[in-house]
Amino acid sequence: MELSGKNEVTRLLQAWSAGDESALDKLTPLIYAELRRLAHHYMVRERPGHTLQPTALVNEVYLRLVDSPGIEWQSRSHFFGICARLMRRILIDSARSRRYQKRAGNAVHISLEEATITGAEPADELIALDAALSEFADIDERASRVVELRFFGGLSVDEVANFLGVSQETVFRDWRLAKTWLLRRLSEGGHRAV
Amino acid sequence: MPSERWQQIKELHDALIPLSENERKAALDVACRNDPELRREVESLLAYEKRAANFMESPAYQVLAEELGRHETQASSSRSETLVGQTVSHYHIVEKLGAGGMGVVYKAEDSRLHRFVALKFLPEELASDPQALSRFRREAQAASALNHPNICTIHDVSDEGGRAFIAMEFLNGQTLRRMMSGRPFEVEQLLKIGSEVADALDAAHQTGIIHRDIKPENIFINSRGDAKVLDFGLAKVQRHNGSSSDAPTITGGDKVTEQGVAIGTVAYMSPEQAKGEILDTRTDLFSLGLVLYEMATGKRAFAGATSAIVFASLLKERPQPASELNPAIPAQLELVIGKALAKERALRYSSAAIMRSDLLRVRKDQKGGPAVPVVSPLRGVADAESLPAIAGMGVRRWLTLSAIILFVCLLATVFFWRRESSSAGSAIVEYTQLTNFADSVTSPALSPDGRMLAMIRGQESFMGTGDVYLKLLPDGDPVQLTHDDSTKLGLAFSPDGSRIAYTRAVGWDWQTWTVPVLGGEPSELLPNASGLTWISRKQVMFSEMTKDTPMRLVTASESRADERTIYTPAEKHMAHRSYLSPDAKWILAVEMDTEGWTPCRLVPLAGGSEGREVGPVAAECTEAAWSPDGRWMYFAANAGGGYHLWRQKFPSGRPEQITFAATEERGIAVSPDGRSLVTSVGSQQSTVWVHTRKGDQQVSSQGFAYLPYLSANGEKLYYLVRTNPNKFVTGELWSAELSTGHKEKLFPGISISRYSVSPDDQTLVFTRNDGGHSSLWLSPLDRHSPPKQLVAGEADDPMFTSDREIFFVREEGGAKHVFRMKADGSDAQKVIPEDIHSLLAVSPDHRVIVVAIYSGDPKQPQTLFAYPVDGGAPRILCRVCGIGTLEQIWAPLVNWSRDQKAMYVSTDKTYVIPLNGRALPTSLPRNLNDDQAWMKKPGIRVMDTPCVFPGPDPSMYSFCKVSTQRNLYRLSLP
Repeated sequence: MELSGKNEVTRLLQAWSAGDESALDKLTPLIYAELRRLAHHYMVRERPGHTLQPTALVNEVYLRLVDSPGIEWQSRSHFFGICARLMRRILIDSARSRRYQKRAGNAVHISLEEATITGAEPADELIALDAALSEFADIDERASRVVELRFFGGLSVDEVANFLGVSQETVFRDWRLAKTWLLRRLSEGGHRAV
Repeated sequence: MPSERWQQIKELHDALIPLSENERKAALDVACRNDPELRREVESLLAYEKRAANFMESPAYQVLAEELGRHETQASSSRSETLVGQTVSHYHIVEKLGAGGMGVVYKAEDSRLHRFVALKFLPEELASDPQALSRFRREAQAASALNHPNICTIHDVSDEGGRAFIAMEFLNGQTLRRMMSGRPFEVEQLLKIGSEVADALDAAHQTGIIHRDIKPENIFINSRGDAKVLDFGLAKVQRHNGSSSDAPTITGGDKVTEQGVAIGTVAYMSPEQAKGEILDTRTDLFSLGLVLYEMATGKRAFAGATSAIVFASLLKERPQPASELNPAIPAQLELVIGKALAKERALRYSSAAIMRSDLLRVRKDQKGGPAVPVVSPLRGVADAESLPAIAGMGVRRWLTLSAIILFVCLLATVFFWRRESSSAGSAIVEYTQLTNFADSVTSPALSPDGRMLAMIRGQESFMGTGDVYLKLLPDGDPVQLTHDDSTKLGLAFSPDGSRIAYTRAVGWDWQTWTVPVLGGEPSELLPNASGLTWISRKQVMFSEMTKDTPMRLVTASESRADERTIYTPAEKHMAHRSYLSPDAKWILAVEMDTEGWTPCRLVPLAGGSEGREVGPVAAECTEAAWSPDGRWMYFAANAGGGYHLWRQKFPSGRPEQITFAATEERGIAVSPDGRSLVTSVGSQQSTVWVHTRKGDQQVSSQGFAYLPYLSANGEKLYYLVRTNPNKFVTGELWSAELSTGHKEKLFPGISISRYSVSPDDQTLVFTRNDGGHSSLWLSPLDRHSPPKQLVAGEADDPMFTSDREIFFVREEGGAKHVFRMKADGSDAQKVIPEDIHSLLAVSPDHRVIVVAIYSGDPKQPQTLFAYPVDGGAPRILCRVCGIGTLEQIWAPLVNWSRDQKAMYVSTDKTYVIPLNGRALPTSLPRNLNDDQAWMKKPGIRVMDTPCVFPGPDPSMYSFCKVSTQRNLYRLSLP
């Protein structure tokens, strides 16, 4: 599916990043459609012979969304940074709606991350993760940003480092600890004083 | 801004990440000396380190897109047809799980058994093809016979109402394909999955089922991380265009491009599959090799833009070494993958069992101890000797040896660790015998002043019936304190030395009793308390059972006031015994899981921690102790080859073995001065006998006699007598004239581990053990000329097959092979290409040999294979072939009767199996220890002796009688 107008998306993204929340409402269906297109692509990937790198896939979304050299983004990584936050919003919204659908009896069977939190559906897990990440932001803002960029934004360590202006080593350490903290948080359920 | 506290946590966490477990502990000790909260926080985070490795590694986008993708597929296919909500046969269909090459899969509830199943419906185009349908039924039925934890179970096959479907186990988790993200897997995870898939393949191959389509899509990882292989045999069903080749499944169907199909198909093919040749089991091993390669490197071994390129690469090229792509790959693993990926089938693993055992060994090496070069299934002591003297695999293997000697009667058949390992004996221990009972004494305990020694006499093992005895050291006679002959275990002195506590077990009712040392009536101290020790004048520590925990450790007063839980072991574990450190901070806990003893654990007395494993890795640890200064921890443990004593510097030294004798050591009581300990040393006596029509005749009178062999004329018995009880594997050869009883040593001073007599009774070939080396020697039995060396270098297991030919085992470049040669030592030729562990038997017609192969599992190390000498596929005779209890394992004895009419297999009994003209029994129990399974085999005769050698005619045989003895010894500590 072709997006109706890439410039339109770009404009909305810019508006949203400038604080116009209503832009998000208009953006979401566009991105959602693109997500579906890729989701379909994904099912094809499930078959032998097709391996797409996840990062490449997400980048592809971005590039499809905003493929206009004339746009005033301070930098590519800045753009990714904005997108990551946007993605987080959209994905969590989507997860919420999926959870709703599931409750309505339209269950989908799939697991977010096999060895981590068993039992829960991915949509639930994404929502729980989002909440935990917000909590974590109070403890370690930068590390929470790393998670947002990596997990929700699909950026590589290199790209995150570039975006945050820190070394790759720092990103890697933040990422590792944040994952551990979040997993513990999700596994234990209860609150934990730090 | 991060708080200072978080910064502190973060820095410490990051600093600990690269450190080993022990180093971490040490660093935490220093860094958190005054800050236990910091320690708890960091330890709690570290506890999630492993699991976090894969967590969130797929971007949220991918997760959601996949979920959506599923939804899309469902939505689109449900437009055409949906069975959700319908009932097919007795399955109520709940939801659609997905669609694959073999059709659509639904989750359904089995309305009879009330469980969820996955129903896989055959695609319509196949279901309407009668040939495909019958193939489907046949294959699915064959696969449904597979019952293995790593194979997705098929419950039912049906084509009710024209809908062909399979009902199978409902699994939670995802396919391996989904877990592949272009990045390498953790080595441990790879090895776990790899060995499980190999085990699944082995089980299937044994029943003649080849998978034909092993690929990440067909390997499912359930939510517990266990591998389940899907779609056994189904590849055969799905053939396109009526082609008769064994093409693997093309999962994907119409949506995939022609090119995509081809690439997908080729990606996990073996060369023989690509060439359209007849397939055998080894094709699955190649495909598994490809999967492992991809897991190891994140890349396909053979890749290319078109199928032609992949084809060419598959047939001609060697994949880039895995370690170049991922330096974290251990060299041994790379060798395993390389062997699986050999283009020539003959160079590949000959069986999934062997591949599995290699993977398990790599895994074990990864987990603990130094790396050992592996690959070929079996390897001799050469490896062990190249290792540092202590700990790790080398010793483990060496150890297996010492367990074996306990059954020296079977010695000759046993694995090839049997060479004296001079390098292993770093700790020199002197033995002083303290008791001299004809039966067994166990469970030594020393009084606080070290002057009294308590023990339990009467039981053969550490839990059995018997009574408490007390001996005043050094020379007092043991005095019996209890007289009820009940089941007892564990002894401890009270702090004032006036009482001895012991556990009485009545079923699962375990009570602690005490008896005064000066004599008097025993009395019950505490119900539901076992393994009790005093940790101060007023406090005791013991194990108790509760509703929720099988057995946990608690402290309390003698009246059970102020009871406090110290340590609750993992689920289903029982903490049986506990030993407090001299500084009263740590406890060594001995525990059991459902399968038996586990490694000991070090847990804090303060409680609240699961502690960590100490002592030898992966061992069965049964008793522990501390040196009085708290610097050493001692363990009685079986790390693969019988119970011996180990020590380890507290808190994190390397475990090292300190006793190496032919005996077994159990129980530890350290003297107050820390210079010696008392342990129960078990040994066995063996005499050799001859059975004739006239009855049984004892031949050997003294020493430990074993390996009795009757001469062809039935007039002489040859046997070995162990020369040094502490050097187990060798003995001197004796011959006895049965009519006169005249006995003589044939080659005094020559250490022999195995021998064989030529059929004409003229010549002897034997393995001479000398300074850790073994070589083959030949001698005329009349000794008119001295023995001469036949094969220098490392060789063993000689067997005359005729007067002119000898089979034997020779080590070459670390691998061991079976050879045959002329009796003059000329013309040696390899019999089978496999790297084996030891040669157990050659059939009288020389057409079949039985070899032992190390399975990689220390609890059940033996797998026996029968190989046709002239080539051809080997047969597995038994999977669980190790004989004995959890505490001792040895190889079975296998012999053919000389007329080849029967096979003798000895475990703790001997089973005589009629062969009815065949070379091999039609089947042996999968587990040789399974009495019930033996009983079901028709025509089998059972003899109640563990060692029988058939004689020249069926009325004659020779056998051993073995008895066990345990006594207490004082061992000086190194």
